[in-house]
Amino acid sequence: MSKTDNSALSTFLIRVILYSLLGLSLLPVLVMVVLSVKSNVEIITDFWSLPSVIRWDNYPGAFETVKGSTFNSLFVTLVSCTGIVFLSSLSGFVFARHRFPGRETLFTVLIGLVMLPQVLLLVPLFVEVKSMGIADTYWALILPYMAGGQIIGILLCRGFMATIPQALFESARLDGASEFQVYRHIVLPLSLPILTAIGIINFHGIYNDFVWPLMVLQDQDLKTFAVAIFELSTVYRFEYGLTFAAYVVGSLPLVVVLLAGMKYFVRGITEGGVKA
Amino acid sequence: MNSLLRHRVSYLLLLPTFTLVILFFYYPALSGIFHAFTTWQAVGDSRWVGLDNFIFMATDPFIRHSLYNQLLLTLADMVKALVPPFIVAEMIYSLRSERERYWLRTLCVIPMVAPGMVIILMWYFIYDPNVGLLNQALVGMGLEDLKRAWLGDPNFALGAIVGIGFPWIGALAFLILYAGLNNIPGDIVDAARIDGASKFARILQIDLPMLVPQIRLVVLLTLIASIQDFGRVLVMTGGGPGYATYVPALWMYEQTFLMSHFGYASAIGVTLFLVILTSSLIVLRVMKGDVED
Amino acid sequence: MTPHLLVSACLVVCAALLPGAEAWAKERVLISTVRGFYNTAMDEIAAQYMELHPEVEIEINLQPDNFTITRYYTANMAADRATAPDIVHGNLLGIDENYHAGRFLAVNDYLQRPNPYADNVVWMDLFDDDLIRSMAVDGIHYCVIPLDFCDAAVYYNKDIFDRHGLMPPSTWDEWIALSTVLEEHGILPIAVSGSTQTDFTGWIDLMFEDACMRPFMPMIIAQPGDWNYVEANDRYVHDLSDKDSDRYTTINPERLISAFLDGTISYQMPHFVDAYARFQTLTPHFAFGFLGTDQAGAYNLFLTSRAAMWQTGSWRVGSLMKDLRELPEEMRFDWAVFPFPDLRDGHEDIAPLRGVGGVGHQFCVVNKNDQAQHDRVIDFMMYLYSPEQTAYLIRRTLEVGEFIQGMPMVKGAEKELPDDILAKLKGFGGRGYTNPGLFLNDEEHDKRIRPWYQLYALGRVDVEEFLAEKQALAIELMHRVIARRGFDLDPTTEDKPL
Repeated sequence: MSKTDNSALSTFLIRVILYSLLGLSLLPVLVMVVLSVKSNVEIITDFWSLPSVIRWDNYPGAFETVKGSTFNSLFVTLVSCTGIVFLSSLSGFVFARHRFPGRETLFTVLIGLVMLPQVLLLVPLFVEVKSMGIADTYWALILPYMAGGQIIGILLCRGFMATIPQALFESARLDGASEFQVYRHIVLPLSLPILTAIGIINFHGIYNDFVWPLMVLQDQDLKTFAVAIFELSTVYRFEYGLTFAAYVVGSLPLVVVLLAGMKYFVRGITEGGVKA
Repeated sequence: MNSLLRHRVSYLLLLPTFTLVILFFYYPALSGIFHAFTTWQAVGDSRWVGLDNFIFMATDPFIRHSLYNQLLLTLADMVKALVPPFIVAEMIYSLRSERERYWLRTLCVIPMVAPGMVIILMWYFIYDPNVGLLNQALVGMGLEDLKRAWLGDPNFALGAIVGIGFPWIGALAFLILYAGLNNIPGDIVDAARIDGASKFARILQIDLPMLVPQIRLVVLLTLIASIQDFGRVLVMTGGGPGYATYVPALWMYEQTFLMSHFGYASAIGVTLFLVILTSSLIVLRVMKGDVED
Repeated sequence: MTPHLLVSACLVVCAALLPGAEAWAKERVLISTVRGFYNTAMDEIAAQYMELHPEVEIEINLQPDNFTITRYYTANMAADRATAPDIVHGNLLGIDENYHAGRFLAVNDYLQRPNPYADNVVWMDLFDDDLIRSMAVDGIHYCVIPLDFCDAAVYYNKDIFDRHGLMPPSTWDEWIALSTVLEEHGILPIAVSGSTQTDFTGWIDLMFEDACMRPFMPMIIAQPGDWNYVEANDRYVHDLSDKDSDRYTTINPERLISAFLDGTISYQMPHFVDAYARFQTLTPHFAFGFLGTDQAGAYNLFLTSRAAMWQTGSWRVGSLMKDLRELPEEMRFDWAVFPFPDLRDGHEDIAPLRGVGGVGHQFCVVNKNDQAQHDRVIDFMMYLYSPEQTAYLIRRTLEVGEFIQGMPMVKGAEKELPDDILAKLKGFGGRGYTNPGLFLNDEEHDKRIRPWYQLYALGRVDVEEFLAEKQALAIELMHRVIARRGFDLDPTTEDKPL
């Protein structure tokens, strides 16, 4: 009897703690949203009050301010993720279902790259990108992102594609399909869940990246969202209301994509974590 | 050669991947390692100077202070990445309702939708000494004595940076640990319960050992991220006050972009790479566990 | 075969006729400047110039602030000079280093030519030329063409001062005293930004160093026979109380370095200690937590009357006026500006604090080793820095609600300023110009001394320790300068970098 009471009490306590902690986690985001609909003067003078009038007029200005950078982030991220998904699935397929000399060596060499931290590459990559003439273009971001993001993707894809029944491949090859057609018509459709997971995970990572875009993009029109809001924060007058509204606007793509793909994201990380 | 030709389709299909990898990983990595031994700079000659850059690093006060700060920061990051997510994962795991567990797991991941830079800038605002949330809250609660210059006081600045993201329930770490927990075979858990083991004993003697691969993964990911990321320091304090929050990666960035000392910056980069490599190997050696391949 | 040739030929002809090809054949001038510096008006002036000269295309690249423009400039100069800007706003760039590395052009010759857009008056004569000379490299190479004169001073809230019976201080002690009174009434005395995005120490360091170095002028001024000797040096009269005594003179860097290396001059000398110790009596009155805040934070404290004073520069006059107008009635206040008070206190070895002028908008021409390109770039500069265009710049900037950074340098353009702005701007300046010192905007110097400056401002490090560090750093960097510029430490020979 007491054991049940005990467990009910402990369950209740656990719930209280959990919801409090999770609430605290979301507090900065909540503050940001609430402050984004207050006027600047209100924020400075009367901080704690909930907005007397919900002022949406921070948003037009905020939208103007960050629409360029949000678009840049979105564009770079989408293109990179598409490339990563394509490369991961293609190369993962080759490593999983083809036999060829040097297969294991090449694979180890590839996966070993995960160990190479960005920190070693930053300076030489910057100079290389400059001399290739692609600095200050989207390519300076997209190509390195694709190069890096595909590694984990290949690892995951190889594991997954190894489980596809051999029979499917045999029948396709007997029908005279080329390897690329096999890839397109068999492998891709079956791998959709894991590819979505790879896409979403990389979306999150690339959209958030700060250091590399900070270094390589100097053209104002190309700056990504993270860099743009950082530079915004150093501008002379800190218009709190407008700035928070700008944060909200630029977060929207990430919110939408992550909420929509939450299931795949979680599944991707979970499976990856289990395989560790 | 014959077999290479026979398998040419495979190699061809792998070409895009390897082209990108060679261009954007191997070549820069080798270039970085090479130039660490030169006086590479924006304009002017690039001379081979052997270990000069590294010798200078040994006397550079920025390196000395930043390495110390980095050690503290990375240790703190480890604790933040393991302890709260683990506690939360265990708490959720202990709940009966499948639906509630699913819902809470989703709640844990929701904070990920906020871009990282937004979170850092929000915390910068929170720490503002006069209008920021933290000090205003302390004053409001009558705890005015606890008011501090969080980012402006060398004693508190590093701690303030550690504090970002309170309560530190990192979604990624949580998912990995939670996945590991759920993967523990049910019959082992049942056996423990039947044996009358207390919850805590079970956690210590079964969960933790079985989670070693996941813990190892989180440790490695956190290690790599912590040593490389200087974005939060750049935004919050720029390395100050004094040397209080400098980290090696920030100094490397400034050497590159404000002073154009590419050679010296590469030397710092190579050193950090060696630190990451060595620490990773140590972690892999120390935390041997089940490795599913 | 023939159809292919025909098609190819057609394609080539089409490509040549495309508008893109035409633009490619134009002369291009790329200007890199910062947001908030007369942007709209400058775009219009560029457009007007392009109408006058259809063969030229001017592109203006905007960066958000002085730090990003430094990064942008460094990044562009790193690999390919061809894509670098032709004109760059060089506020934070090391002018000295860039000139001697061959990256900036000295425009002395051009300055002596007649300006075709100003009735052929000699270009140099159009300027209030003190500022150009004061920013000259080695005193003789003119690389910086300032648009306006700015200075750093202290804004203060007159309403708060009146309410507590306070007057703007004329000595350092008075400044400390009134700050203490304000604190007793729960008001933050001085709002100042301490973050990396600004440099409150930059101006103070310039002013203090200048005040303490002036006693050494006879030792370091270029003598007859020195490579950068000018006749004006003969007319130098060593009088510390005369803020203009060293106008038009040049300092010989080799003499300066030699004096430091043999210990004749040292930052650790008693009068340096006395002067810098004064700074440490002021910093406790900086707003709470100032090192962890930035420009926006400091500004907001002053704007909301939480702080009575605000230490920054003349470029904030316009925005302060605008923001006050937008505040609700009851929050507005009357304000004025006072210069840094006298810190000498009868000390004979310290000169009065002088102005840091020229920190505003300053264009530098990048050396592209292409005479025709330079001629074109200078032609545009002559257009911009002519009385008519500068007046237009000021007028238009005010019209569209952007801000003036300070008094314009082109004579006659200040007539465009409305009285209220003029009145506020007059609170700045009139204090002469500091000598820039060897390490002005030297990134390495600034970055390495910065942690010490911060700790010294907090009082964690005492003034002797700080000055010892400053001295050691100066000596170390001087050796680098010697190496970089190939100095033989003989002031009569002009040395070329190795």
